[in-house]
Amino acid sequence: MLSPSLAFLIFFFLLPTIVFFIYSFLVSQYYRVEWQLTWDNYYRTFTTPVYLKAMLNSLRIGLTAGVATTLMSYPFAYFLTFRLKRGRNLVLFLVVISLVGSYLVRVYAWRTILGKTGAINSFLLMIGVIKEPLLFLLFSRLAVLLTLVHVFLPFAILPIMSSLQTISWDLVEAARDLGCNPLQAFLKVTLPLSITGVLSGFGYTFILSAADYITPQLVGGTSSAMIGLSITNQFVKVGNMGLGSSLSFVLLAVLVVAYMAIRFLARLAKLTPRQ
Amino acid sequence: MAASRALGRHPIRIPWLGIYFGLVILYLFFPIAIIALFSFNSSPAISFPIRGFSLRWYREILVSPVFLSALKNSLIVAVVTTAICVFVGTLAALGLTRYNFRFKPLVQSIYVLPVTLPGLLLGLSLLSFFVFLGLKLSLGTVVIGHLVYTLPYFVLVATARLERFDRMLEEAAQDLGCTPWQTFWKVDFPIIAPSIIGAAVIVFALSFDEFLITFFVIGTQSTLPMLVWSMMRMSIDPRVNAISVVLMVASMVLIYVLSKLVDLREIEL
Repeated sequence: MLSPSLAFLIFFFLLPTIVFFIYSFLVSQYYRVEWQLTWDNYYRTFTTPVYLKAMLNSLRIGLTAGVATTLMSYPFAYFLTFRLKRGRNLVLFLVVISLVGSYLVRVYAWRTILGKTGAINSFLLMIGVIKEPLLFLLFSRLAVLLTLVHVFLPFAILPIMSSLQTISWDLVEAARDLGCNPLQAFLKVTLPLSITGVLSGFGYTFILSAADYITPQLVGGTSSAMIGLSITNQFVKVGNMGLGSSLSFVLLAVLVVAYMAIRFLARLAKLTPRQ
Repeated sequence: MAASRALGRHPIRIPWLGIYFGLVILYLFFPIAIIALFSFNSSPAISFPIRGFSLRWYREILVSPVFLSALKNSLIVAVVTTAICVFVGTLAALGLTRYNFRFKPLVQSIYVLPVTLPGLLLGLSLLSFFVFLGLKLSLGTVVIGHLVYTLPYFVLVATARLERFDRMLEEAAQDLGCTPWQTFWKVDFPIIAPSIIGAAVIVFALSFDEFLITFFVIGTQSTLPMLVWSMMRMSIDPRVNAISVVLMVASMVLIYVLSKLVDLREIEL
């Protein structure tokens, strides 16, 4: 029963990933690869300052966006799970819409809102708060972060919510009966029991943000150049697919290592429950 | 202590939490509301003050052949992707929940991996692969790209309910004289149908809106998100707002249908 889908994923997911990986060891130019092995792509990946800077930028922006999104999502998911009685389905409906729908539209929305003649500036000019449009809003690192957090919030809210849902409130009450204050009960019971959701929510938003190639193009400035765009350009503008591939896999390795490090830190902080 | 607990399940009272909750909702939806508002603006500027309202931009896109052909392509891709996904994915979901076999964890991870990889990498590896095979980029390659990304979602959502399925019901039906085929149609199917349809709706919505992978594997044709992309890069074009609203309304309708079929709390990543 698995075979059709498994065959499909092996042929169109595993195999392409392998081919893509092999490309990183091949010589390529003008959109063609030659079957000639080389380390040059990796050499250039690690020695070109522009790529190193963009890689670091992606890591930094991804981490900031991931942490911000997770921190914002937790109280939201907590309220949605434990407090909200009426309207919970409506809110959930809104969150799921933003999960599956309108990625591009929402990035575009921020571009029009933050722009020189955009909604925020024209509104502030209209009501007379400012005399000149604020130019620092668009094409800045702030704009990139604002957009990334907005776009990927549901990817943290949903996993956190689904792990909060499994917590039996009796456990929290038991902790209180045993003398914990609300904060202690939260730190010793609720948080460790929902840490899986927190970590996977962070994982999604961190990886999605760090590898986003659209947001930095639309709302970012030169200082917020991210590696996703450099990779894209190797394929659509430069035609050096080998270099694009080596950049991609170095990015992937950086993301996986960073995520593992965060998980390790969570375990050190004794936040993850022992098996 | 006792008094606070008497208030209900929630002894901790933080008055700010509700306000914060409202602010996050605002942050999630005010950009979309702004776009919707300006899509009805009678002047082409996307800035305040708004002088008047009209349906001008909607009328313009409805007669634009570029928009109509992109809409048609988006619908074709979403329908084909969903159809294949339902057929292949349902089999996979049944197989994964019913049978134990060697290498099951390995197989399961193949179904999860594409969801965790960023669209950029999925799109580029498919593009490299298609170039390697010498396959011409078309709507067909777009469907393949969407399937790689949506099939795991489908399997994830569909297995969620199948895992809680009570196998005793099947045994009871067979004890009462049903053939395996009858058991499937009379017992299994009515129970799993809502989650299958629910998963199909998600796949349709994801495919209709997909951009990150499509961008690399589409070739010369266009889908709605691709059209939005090309239009907004050129200049401020108020028709983009109207197309955006069409895309957003489409996902709203789909998720509304979804909420009628499955408990939205079951949607897991």
